Amino acid sequence: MSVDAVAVEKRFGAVEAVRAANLHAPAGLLTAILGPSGCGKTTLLRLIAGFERPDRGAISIAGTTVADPSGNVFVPTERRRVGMVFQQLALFPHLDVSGNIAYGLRGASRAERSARVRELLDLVDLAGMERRYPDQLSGGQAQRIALARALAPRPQVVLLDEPFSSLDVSLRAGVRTEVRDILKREGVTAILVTHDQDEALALGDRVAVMLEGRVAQLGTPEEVYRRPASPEVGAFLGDTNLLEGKVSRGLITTEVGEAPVTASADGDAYALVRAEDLDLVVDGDARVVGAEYFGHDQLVTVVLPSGTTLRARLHARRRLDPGTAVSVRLTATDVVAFPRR
Amino acid sequence: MAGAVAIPLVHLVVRALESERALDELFTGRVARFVTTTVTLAAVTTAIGVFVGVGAAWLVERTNVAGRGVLRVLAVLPLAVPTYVSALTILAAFGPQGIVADIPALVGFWGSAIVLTLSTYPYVFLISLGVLRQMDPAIEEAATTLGDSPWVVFHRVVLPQLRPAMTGGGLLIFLYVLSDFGAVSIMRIDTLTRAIFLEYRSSFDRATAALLGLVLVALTLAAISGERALRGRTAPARAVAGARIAAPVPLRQARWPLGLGVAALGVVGSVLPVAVLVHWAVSGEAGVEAGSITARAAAVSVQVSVAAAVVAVVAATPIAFLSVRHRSWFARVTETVSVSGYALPGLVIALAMVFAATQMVPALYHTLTLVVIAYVIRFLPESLGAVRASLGQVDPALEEAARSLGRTRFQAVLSVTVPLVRSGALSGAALVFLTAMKELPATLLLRPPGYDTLATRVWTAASQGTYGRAAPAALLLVAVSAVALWPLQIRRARQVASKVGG
Repeated sequence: MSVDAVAVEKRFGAVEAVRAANLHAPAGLLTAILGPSGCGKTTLLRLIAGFERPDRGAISIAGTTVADPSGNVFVPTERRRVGMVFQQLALFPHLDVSGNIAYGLRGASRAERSARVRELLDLVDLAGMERRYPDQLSGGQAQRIALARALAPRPQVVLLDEPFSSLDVSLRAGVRTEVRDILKREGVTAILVTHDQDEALALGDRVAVMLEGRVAQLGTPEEVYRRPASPEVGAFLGDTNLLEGKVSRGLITTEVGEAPVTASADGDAYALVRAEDLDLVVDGDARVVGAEYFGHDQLVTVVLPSGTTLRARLHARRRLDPGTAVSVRLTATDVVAFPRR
Repeated sequence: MAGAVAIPLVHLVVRALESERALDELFTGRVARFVTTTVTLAAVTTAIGVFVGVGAAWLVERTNVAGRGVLRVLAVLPLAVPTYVSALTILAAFGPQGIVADIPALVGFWGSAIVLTLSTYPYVFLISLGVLRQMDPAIEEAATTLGDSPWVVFHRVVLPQLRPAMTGGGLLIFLYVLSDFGAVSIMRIDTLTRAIFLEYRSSFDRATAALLGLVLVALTLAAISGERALRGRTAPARAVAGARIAAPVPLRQARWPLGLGVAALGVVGSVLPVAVLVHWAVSGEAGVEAGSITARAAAVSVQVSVAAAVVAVVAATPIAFLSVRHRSWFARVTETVSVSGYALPGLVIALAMVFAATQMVPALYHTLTLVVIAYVIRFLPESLGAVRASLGQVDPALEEAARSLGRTRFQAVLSVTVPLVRSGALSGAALVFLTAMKELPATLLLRPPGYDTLATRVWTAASQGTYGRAAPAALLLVAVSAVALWPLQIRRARQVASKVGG
């Protein structure tokens, strides 16, 4: 039940929303498509769902081609067997909870339908809610009903379009893990679109980072975080600093020290240094210019004598007022470097 | 205000019950026939009107039907033609020895049904258009991911969401037909309103008219509670700001025929009546009456309509404040009673006013003041709606801000809320003015002898069979009503603008 997109392109007038995007979402796993707004991630999802037709490229679900303009293939949404959870959930306002969940179960007998509805309400832990209407549900409940509705007809793949963005921040983390657990229990292939990197890293078995209409990198959360394929991917995932340096014999030398690099040719390079891989020591020729306080930690901005600005993530209890003289140390045991020309 | 509505009604009941002869009449075949005719006409018109209104709205809003932009305006235009004018002109064009065709069967039931359908489907059209525009397209997409083809989605998802628009719009049409007097009189079909009027005119004992009026009120109440039962419980999902607009359904070869069909409704309902009136006015063969008569009638119309508009807005403002800001039982009762004037046929209100005035303040009987009072009772809901809507937009925090800056409660209302509500109140006044200009049955009953409004001029000419005489008066009325469509359009444009801006 894997989903594959090969060299898919889609334009809206002059806007190239998706350009030659390649995606492989393995069966039974949750693939998170992560990218800034306007990168084409929702369009890619809508192409997979069949709401949009690709201009070029091919999309297949479980080995069957569902869209391929070159072969004049286009399977309409209603025959793709995709389940979708929409950004604003889109529960049917005129139907109660059981009516919503049973909506996709046409052709099943009444007994089968009510059995499946009960099964799904148990799965999402909302048994007894059959007669409620969507406007009588809390945000988290509506979320789970939308998921149950999508799962009811046993789709080949579940597509989730920013499904948590309508929830309060305080609810989000809890609902997120619940949704993940439900998807795992059903063993269903899922694709989630999000602009929230924490969400992508925490939920995805695979993360596809999408930038400017292309899938820039596809890998496990750890791979894309630790080994970004480009400075842009690295910069999008977490707070990073790009430092000029020189690689020689597996070691990169920068303005603030040396660190081991993996798989990079000798010569001029950029080191991608995460904010948490820098430490500050009081006294030195760099200067603190500001700090953002987050409670559990803080991001401190320093200016080096060369004029380069760096951001370092430090324990919140360290007190570094603007103006403090510090020196910067590179504490990374492993740095990603990109050749510099 | 509530008293002004309730007291005349009490008089109506008293007058109807005091005569035994009238009570006996209730159970004769005559009354049953009036009721059957009225209900059948209302039901047929409602069924066709809802079908046509919803269908046209769906075509214009959700498909690629030819000429969407033009149809959007054209389909609403029949609202500008009072029913008595459209009955008159359609009869002249297609009725016996008509200008366009000769169809004697048009006089009577089907002629009434056609005219009333043309005059009322735009209500359903406008309401459905609004619901369709606010529907979140993701809901239809959700249905496709669950395996439904576009037609099935229309049936299972779109129609149920349109249900409140259909039952609400249907009720509007049903009540409109129950209370219509002009079209049915010109088409000579014996509905309750026509029977009440003839009874009132011909008999010294007005108890029968009062009784028939009560029967009409009973039908009205039955229709309202019937709609409550049919409406179902559904809060249509609102599209959120920035939501996508649904892709239009491709109609292929049907694009043009369906577009022409919708256009035909607008043309027969608005362009044709105007063309006939212009023909009469220009050719002069129908013996157009002197300009001075039209001018005098216009002056009377403007005088009473302006008075009604001013009083209606002044009366509506405190009620709106109460109902928006203080949700108490008192506010609810006041609002309900004030709005009930809308549901009551104008003829019944007029009848009740006659009885109340002759009993309590005989000096008012046969004065323009009584006409104005009847207009205010009948059209108060329009001004109330407009004031309420604009008041609802004003954040109470604004008044609190003014008070935190040292103004008293009253000063805060005066300096902050009133200026913000002003445009809403003005459009409410405009609506009342323009609707009052068209009012016919209450005016016929209540006007002082010798006073004519534009509407009564048209009616008199029509009832004497000299159709063309009042062509200038009718043209003026259509022009005035066309202007009445503006507030509707402006409000819509504002809603669209705020949506785009949000």
